[in-house]
Amino acid sequence: MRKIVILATLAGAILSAAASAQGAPSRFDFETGGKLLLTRGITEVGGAGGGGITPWAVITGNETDRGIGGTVHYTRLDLPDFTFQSYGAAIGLFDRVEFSYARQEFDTGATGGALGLGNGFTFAQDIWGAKLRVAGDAVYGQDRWMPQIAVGVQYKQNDQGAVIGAVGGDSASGYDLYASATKLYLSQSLLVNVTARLTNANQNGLLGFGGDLGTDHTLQGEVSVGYMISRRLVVGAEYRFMPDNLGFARQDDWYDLFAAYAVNEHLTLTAAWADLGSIATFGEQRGLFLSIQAGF
Amino acid sequence: MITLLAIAASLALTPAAMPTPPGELPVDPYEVSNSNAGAEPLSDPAVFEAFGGIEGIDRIVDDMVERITVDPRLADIFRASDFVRLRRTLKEQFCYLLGGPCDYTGMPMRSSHADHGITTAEFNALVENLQLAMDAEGVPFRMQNRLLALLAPMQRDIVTR
Amino acid sequence: MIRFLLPLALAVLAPGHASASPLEVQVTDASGAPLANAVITLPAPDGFDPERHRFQWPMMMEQQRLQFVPHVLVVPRGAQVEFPNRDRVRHHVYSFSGSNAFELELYGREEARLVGFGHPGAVVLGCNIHDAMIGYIRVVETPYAAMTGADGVAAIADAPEGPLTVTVWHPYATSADGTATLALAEGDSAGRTAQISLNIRAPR
Repeated sequence: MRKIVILATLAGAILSAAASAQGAPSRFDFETGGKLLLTRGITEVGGAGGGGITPWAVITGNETDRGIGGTVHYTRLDLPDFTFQSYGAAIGLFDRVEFSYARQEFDTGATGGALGLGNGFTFAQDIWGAKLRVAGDAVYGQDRWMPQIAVGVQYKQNDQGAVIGAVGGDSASGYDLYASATKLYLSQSLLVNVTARLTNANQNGLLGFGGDLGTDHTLQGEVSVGYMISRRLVVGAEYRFMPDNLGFARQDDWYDLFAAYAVNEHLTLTAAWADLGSIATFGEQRGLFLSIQAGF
Repeated sequence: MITLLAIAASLALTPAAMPTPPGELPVDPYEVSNSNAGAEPLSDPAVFEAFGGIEGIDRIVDDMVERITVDPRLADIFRASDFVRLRRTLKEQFCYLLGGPCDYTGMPMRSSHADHGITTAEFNALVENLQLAMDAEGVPFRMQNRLLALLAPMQRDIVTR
Repeated sequence: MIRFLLPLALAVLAPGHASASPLEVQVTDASGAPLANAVITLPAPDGFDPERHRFQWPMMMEQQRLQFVPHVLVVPRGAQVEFPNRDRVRHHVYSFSGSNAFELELYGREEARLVGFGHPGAVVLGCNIHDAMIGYIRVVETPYAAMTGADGVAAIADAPEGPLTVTVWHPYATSADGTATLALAEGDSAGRTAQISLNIRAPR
């Protein structure tokens, strides 16, 4: 019940911020488009605008402070013993607020049989996210140390509650709270993001929330660094610390090496080499991460 | 004779007034200063060289102005502009900011853009045209970003809508 | 008797015109200070077609130095009004005034655009870029219209004789439709200036 209250309060704060974000326009109208290439980021696996595996402080969509934008994404990660997919949609309002939805599917394939779940057993979860940009400007604040800062929440509902309970998971639903700081260091052609996340999710929630080793939210760090090779191409690396709440299977941190390419203002393609470590006792889960994001 | 007196009187009354260069429209008087350029110049001579010096900067500005006049996102802003003055002051500004042997004699960013009602999207469209012009001149991307890093904060003075 | 005979004689001497004489109206605010930019109108004669009427002033609302010039323009219903931009910045003129609402998207210097005004009433003009720019167009259906100058006086040279209802409109008038009326009995205004006062609010 407490989770619901927190969500409702945050949603209220975000809505009122959206209402005041436009200043006092003489007419009610809004525009689409206007962001510079790649400055909306891509879509992270949880659905928020960001890097590949971590949210950034940028707001999704091409809109500026005068408009509305949106994105859809599909991400696939082929691992030695599993297949991971994420797809969803997000909307950005006035470069200030972002609402997102993503569905994640974790197909255990033949591994499911080995785990006693049955071949092709799939964990899936729905993730609803909201993000509010609170300070700074990642692009224009080149003369200031202050990064762009956003706070966000992700509420996740997993559809395999019985299995999660059987492996020691505490809950099939949960929420993450995070704060992200993003800054473009134009003089160095570098983009840096740091995210602090309060979470009790196991494997991002795919194996539920909390467990026999702990149920509390803990603070986890996430870092992205990107080097801009051209207006269209960024290469970089990400690292995401993970909690470890399940006794039956150690959970490792995630990291990736990525290249994101803006085909045009609407389409961004990302390829990465991602290493999710050990998942459900199956180690060395690393493979090719491919993501496509389309937006306006 | 009366006209001459009137011009002399008006010149005497305007502090730091600059005579209107040939081909340009007169502007309201303002204090001429390099601080109007909106940023401190770079001291790394490699950047000025990468831009091809004064000649390269001239070509970049000419190309950028050509592009913005036909860019449907920007054409209306500049349709009313004095392009002779715009080219001259942009060349001065870029040359000064890149550490070249130039002085900027234009207006401060805030007053030169006041009343134009420029949006962030339009500011970004201008940046894109500048990027294309720098590409055409063969300026390496990381060197382009050295200039853009100085121009980016001007968004706060230029964008009013 | 002479008062009646003279106009009659004039009417005979000037066929095609109803008997007419100059009318002056002095408009003040409630404190008695003269009100500029007030528009006075008289009822139109029978059969008057505003669509074919032309006033002596240009049907033009300029944008100059970030202002609408003139501040108030009187046009006959159906008029096509030019909106030239005399500034070096672009304008984006619009109005939300009922059936006369229009929008002229962003446009640059010296571009004259035409807007037709097909309905009587007051049209409030704004600029999407420059919030301080406000202007007014008063669309009328009568040939008898004039605007007060700085002295608050408006004159209609050929006002018809007989009892008249003078309508005064001002952009800042507090009444619902921005107008006040003054009934003049026959001959009331002959040789003098009719007085009318309006309650106004402070301009925005």
